Amino acid sequence: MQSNPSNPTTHRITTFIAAALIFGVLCLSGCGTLKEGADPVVVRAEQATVAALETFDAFLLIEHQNRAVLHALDPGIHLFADRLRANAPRWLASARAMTKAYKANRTPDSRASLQTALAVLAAGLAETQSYLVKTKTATP
Amino acid sequence: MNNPVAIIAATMPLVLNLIEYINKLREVARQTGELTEEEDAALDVRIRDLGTLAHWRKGEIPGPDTAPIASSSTETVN
Repeated sequence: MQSNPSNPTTHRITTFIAAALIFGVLCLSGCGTLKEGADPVVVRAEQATVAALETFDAFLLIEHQNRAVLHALDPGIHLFADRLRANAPRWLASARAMTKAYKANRTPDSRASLQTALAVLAAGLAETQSYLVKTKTATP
Repeated sequence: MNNPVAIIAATMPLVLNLIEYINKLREVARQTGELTEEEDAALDVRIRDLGTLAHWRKGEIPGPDTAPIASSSTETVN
């Protein structure tokens, strides 16, 4: 699908992508109360990992299916997507490993390591969202 | 691309992807307990196998140089 980046249709598509992904992440802000006995650190870590996985997956699928249009808008989107492809599996695996380490040994040290791994994931997530918003602002 | 049918055809897969994504996130937001052993193992497998998915592999930018050449071939075999 070849398209001119100044095309109003492209603008509408990319605006919709950005709005939908931001809305999706906002859905997480309405987290309910936890089950009795559930450790909030573990539950939030697992939620953050799955949410990051779903967001990276959605972004990479959209980039894969609309590569020509998005590349015309901003070549940086494809470069970022390839960087995400290279790094995200490692970030996710690290968050999983730290979650398991914390579950096995719930000490302040293991909690701090888990929070560091989650901060890396959160940074990747924020950058993914900024690239999606960029697709909107790259058009007039 | 100003034809409304073409616009709908072009955006429909994208809209479906986004609806699926939002539904998955809503499901995550509803989680109130720790993952079960099965869910835990399934998540690990999913992360481990990301590289097998086409959209998780590095890709070329489609352009004139990467267009399929089969349609332009007029060679015949004797």
